[in-house]
Amino acid sequence: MTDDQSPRRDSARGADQAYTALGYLISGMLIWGFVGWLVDRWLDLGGIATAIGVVMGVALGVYLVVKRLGA
Amino acid sequence: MVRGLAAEVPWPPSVDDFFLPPIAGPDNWFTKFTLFVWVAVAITIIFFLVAYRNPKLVPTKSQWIAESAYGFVRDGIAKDIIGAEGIKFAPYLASLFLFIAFNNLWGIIPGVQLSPNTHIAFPAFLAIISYVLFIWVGVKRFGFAKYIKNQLIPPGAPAWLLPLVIPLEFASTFLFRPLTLALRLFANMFAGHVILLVFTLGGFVLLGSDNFALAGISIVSWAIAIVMTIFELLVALLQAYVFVLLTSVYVQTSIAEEH
Amino acid sequence: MPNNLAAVVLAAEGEHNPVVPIWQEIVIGLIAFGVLCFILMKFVFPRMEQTFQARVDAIEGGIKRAEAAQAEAGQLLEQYKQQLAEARTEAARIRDEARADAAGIREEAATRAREESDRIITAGREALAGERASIVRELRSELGALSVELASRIVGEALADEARRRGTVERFLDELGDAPTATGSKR
Repeated sequence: MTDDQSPRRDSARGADQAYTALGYLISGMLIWGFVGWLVDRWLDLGGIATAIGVVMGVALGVYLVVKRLGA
Repeated sequence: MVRGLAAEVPWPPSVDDFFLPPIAGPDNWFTKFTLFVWVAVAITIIFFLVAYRNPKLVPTKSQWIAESAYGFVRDGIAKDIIGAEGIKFAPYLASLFLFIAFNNLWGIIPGVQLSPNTHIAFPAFLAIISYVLFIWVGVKRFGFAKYIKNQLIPPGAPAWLLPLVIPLEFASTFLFRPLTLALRLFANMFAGHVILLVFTLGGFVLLGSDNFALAGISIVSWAIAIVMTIFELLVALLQAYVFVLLTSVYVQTSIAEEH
Repeated sequence: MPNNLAAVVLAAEGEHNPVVPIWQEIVIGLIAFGVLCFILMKFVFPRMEQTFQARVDAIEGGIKRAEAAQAEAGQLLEQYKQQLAEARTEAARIRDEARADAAGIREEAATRAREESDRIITAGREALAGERASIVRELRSELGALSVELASRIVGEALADEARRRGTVERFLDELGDAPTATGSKR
């Protein structure tokens, strides 16, 4: 019970990183998609701003995943 | 007879199936849900107290089971995710794991098959406790300003990117974390119950139908219900694991030094 | 107003929105979870940690005990070796001493024997010399007495046979005269 090298380590590490990565991607999509949707409503752009927001959100999410989880 | 039974079956399953009338007393203080919670807590406490009333270096069977449950959370989650520091969170995380797991297991107990966690109230307050825990731990470690900075500003991000990144970090850490924590557990339990209802009640509906072939299919429907019950057992334990795992991850990111 | 409220509550209950928590359940859940946490974290998990620690101690203690026993054995061995070495040097020393003693004793005995023999020889010589001196002294005094006796006898008796007497005296004197000179010259 005292050893620090548990064979489960990798799987648990993998799971937590997967959840963090997924969280960033979905958060990015939702947040900037929502901002884009608000802009759509405001300027009546017909969905273009929402699409841009979602893409930008995903891009930022990928950036954060690399930044936070990358070596 | 059969047709009469089928006519009584509420079909299709609706949200109202999740809201049972109180057993006794006013409002919702004493319902099947609160009763299940109390029973789950009582079973957990009694099992652990009995299994550990006289611990030995070479464990007995029940002592070994109790130790394995704690050791699984302690070494497999707390120590793995948080590190050596995680051991001091292990007792809480283990209690959390047992509470969720035992309550989830009501979802597959024959005759009950309804987990208290299908009511958002229970996952919600557990998520709020985890939310408060990981923020409190981070603030205690770094102080409020430094903690917020650690969480919101990724190290080495260019300044022009910060206005875009900070809202995203804020939302993912302080809004979506508790929401997803609560909703994931709730939705899994809710969906599990709906699936079991669909196949169990669906079997009755099929049995009551005029078409003979359809009535025969009711057997298949029930068989699927049994398989899904086994699947729900996995889901029940997996969701308890995921809830505790994510709580540890949040605690770990709160106290992690920026490098 | 109360009627209105009741109607709203009834309507809400009729709808049963699954995403709106029932606040009583939150309270009950918190209490139940709190009780569970309290009992497990106070009475069960700390004792588990103690048991884990005791197990670690038992293992490490076993290793430590073995190490201690080994160290003690090593120390004993060292001690025995040291004692053996001491005994060896002691024995060698005793042997050397004995050898030296024996040589000393022999030497002493030889010296003493030599001294003794010398002393005996010296004593013998002295005794011989003394005896000789006393004999000479005695002979001298006796010679005198004899001379006196002889003279008186010569004087007292008649000169019956003068010639014979003369011959006798001369022979006597010759004998006397020869003896002291012979011994005296010998020394």
